[in-house]
Amino acid sequence: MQKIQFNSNSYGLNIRSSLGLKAIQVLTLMFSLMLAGCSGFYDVNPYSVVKDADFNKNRDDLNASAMGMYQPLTQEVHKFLLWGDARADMVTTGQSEPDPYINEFVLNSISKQNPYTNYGGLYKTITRCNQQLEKVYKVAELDDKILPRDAAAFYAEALLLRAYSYFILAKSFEEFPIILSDYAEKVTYVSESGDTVYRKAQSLSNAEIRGSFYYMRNREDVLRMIYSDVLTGLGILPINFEWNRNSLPAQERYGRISQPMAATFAAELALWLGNYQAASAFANSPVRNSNHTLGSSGTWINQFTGSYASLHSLFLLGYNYNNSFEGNRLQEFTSPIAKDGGKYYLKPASHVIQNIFSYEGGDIRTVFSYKIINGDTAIWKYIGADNVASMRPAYQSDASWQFYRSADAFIIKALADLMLDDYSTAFNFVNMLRVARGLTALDPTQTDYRNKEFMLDLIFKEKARENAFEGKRWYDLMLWSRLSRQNQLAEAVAAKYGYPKSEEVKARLQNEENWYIPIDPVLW
Amino acid sequence: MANENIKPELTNAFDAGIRFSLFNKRLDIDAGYYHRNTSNLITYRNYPIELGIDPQFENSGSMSSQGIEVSLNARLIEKEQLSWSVYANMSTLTNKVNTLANGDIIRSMDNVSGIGRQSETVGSFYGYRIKGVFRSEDEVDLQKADGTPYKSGDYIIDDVNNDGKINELDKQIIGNPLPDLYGGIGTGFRYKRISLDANFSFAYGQDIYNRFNQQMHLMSDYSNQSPDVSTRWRSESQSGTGLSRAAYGDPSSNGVASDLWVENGGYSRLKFLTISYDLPLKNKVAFIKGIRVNVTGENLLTFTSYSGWDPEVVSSSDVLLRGIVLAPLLCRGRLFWVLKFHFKDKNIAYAKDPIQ
Repeated sequence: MQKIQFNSNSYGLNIRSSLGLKAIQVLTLMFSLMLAGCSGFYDVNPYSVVKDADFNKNRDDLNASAMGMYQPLTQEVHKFLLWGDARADMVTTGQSEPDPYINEFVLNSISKQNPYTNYGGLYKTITRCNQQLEKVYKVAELDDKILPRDAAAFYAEALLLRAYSYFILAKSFEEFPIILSDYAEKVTYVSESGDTVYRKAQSLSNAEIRGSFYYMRNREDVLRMIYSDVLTGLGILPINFEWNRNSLPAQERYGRISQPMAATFAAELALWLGNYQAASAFANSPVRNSNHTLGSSGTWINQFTGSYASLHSLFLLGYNYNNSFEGNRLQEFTSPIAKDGGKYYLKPASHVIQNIFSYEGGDIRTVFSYKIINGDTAIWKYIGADNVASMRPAYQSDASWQFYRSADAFIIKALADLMLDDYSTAFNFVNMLRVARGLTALDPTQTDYRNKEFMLDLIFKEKARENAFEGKRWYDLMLWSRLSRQNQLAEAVAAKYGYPKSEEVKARLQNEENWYIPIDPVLW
Repeated sequence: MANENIKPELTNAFDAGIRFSLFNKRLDIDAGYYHRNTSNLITYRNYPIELGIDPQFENSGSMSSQGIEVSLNARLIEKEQLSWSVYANMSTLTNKVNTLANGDIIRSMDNVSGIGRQSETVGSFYGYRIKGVFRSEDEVDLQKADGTPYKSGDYIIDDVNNDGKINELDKQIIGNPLPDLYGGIGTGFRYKRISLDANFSFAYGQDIYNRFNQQMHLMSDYSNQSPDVSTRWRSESQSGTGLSRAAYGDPSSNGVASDLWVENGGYSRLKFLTISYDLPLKNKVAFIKGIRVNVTGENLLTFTSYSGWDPEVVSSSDVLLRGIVLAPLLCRGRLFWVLKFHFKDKNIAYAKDPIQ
């Protein structure tokens, strides 16, 4: 710009010397043209950039931001499988020479250098939820089409999704900071002189930002914080709220936070916190909701083969491969077919096939959860297109990732009632699930259903069949240990390995502090 | 979140030089030293992952480049029927990142990374150093990241921190994409109606990361490979000439970015050679002043040890990802002729291109 100025000035001077007074007018004109030219030279409002100020003005903007909150999670489901299943007893590696970083999970020797420990995706969701929480009511003031119940729904959605992300962190990681506001805009910390200071993240070094993070030292405190957020969310989320008023496509019905999802989440947290009465009561809501049922064994596989499952699902991450190539890495992780992009990183552990799945006949979960391919077992849930032999096309990895389905509420109800010594209700709920999956109901006269230990074993086995290879097992073993007040996890996981590795793993996992994944976030 | 504080990069340039002529202005020499120091470097800043935001532009760090520039222009013969001149220029370049407020900046493209690191050349290649191939199981003294041992036929990677394990911590700088010396030499010769012009260019001291060559030696799937892979490690008795074993899916990560695929990118090249002839004209055609026929060859000769097709690597626009060859780009050696009519008040040229 300096160059332009110089040229026009010298040109102006030349004119003045030859044309005298008139040149002053010309000079003025030149000067004003030059000024006008500056804003054209530097694009003050580049059209290629969405400015924050132009956004967040109406209901559609809020809805778009809400979609954005879920998006980072859809990219992380292969990690959820590693965190929740590869470490546990039901999954091992399918590769003859295992990938080192996958194998760290399978062997329970996870290093901080392992890139799959990167929990950044969860924090992206948390950040977007925080941003949504901070703006919902500001946007609601700008658009009179956003009714108070709409604003409440958007607010509750962000609160519940943030809570769910923290629940995954709390069950999985050794250490993680609690961030409950939009830190990128405003970092709050206490200065050396004792004052509370608010600064933009930009003005601080990464070390200073990290220094301002707040860590809860007690995991129970984190769970209680999550629980109270969930109760708040549940309280303000309108009943039977429809996100899209005109129609309600399946992906919004199951892919977004809903009242039954929130109640199931609250019930699960209450169970973790030992609040069994509350757990049983919260579970009633999804159990009785007629939009979500246990379904039948015939429709059970739809929740994996179809894009969206009717009735079964409460909360899932869905993908749309056909129109937009959205997909996940589950086919890569579980398929043994190399030409389909399968790396066969993970496969069912052989003792699981023998001990957990039932061979009484008729159980759809035994038929569909795994298959024998090329002479070895493979996880079928994410690659199968039916329960016989048809598979998804190569690279079309768009099986939904299930967070909650109706069966989870039934199992939570059974566990909560069992802990309340309501043995017959617990027994009935287990039987309802069994029948819905094609098994016969257990005979009360032949079943020791008043034996809590026996029933815990029975229910967690049922849960293992229902949620096999869905990234849940490690957390189920944690919950089982909580309910039975003894370490069930160490023994179960150690059974996956041969001697002497089994003894080494068992000894290490006897200490609950070793249940969590180490992470060095500075590496990522 | 916008960075409202972003400022332009500032470059302080210092040039000192002398210019003189010798031998009755037959030889012009221009020599100088330059030093450019760029501060407020606009870089991407990665925030702690817990902030959940994408990298952002910010002003951070400074970088300097310095060197000597020399140019010569010699008019060796200047006569009416005969003239000959030679010109040459060359520069040296030393680039260094002086400060980076938020530490290393690493950028990756197709598994190959360039790094911005304090005291190093900007965009240096970042990866592993390979010391050889484990010829037998007995030789294996390193572990993969998960603690399981490497197998015979795997590359022996330089264990920088000596912990017996190969992981992210063992990455180091493996090459420099910027030349130490570059320039060109040209000549112009004219005798009566014939003239000849030629120009050589050269650059030395830079490395090229030949990712394409690496892919041709990955041996991790069923795609086509270089014939050289027949000399890979096959067994203890056939331990090959330095290439790893073939293993489907690359379980030992032998395909990581490594110095094995960094090549000396130095070259000299005949950029163009032109022969022209001015056709003799009779005065009948009043409006044409002259007609000239040119034949020009481009990139006719290249002297380099680089194994790819063209050492003049088309750089990515990203300063951290220079000198990386992802796919072989054909260097076009071209030959074309030009017929040029010189009118009395206008120039119209007809060109036909290319012949080859």
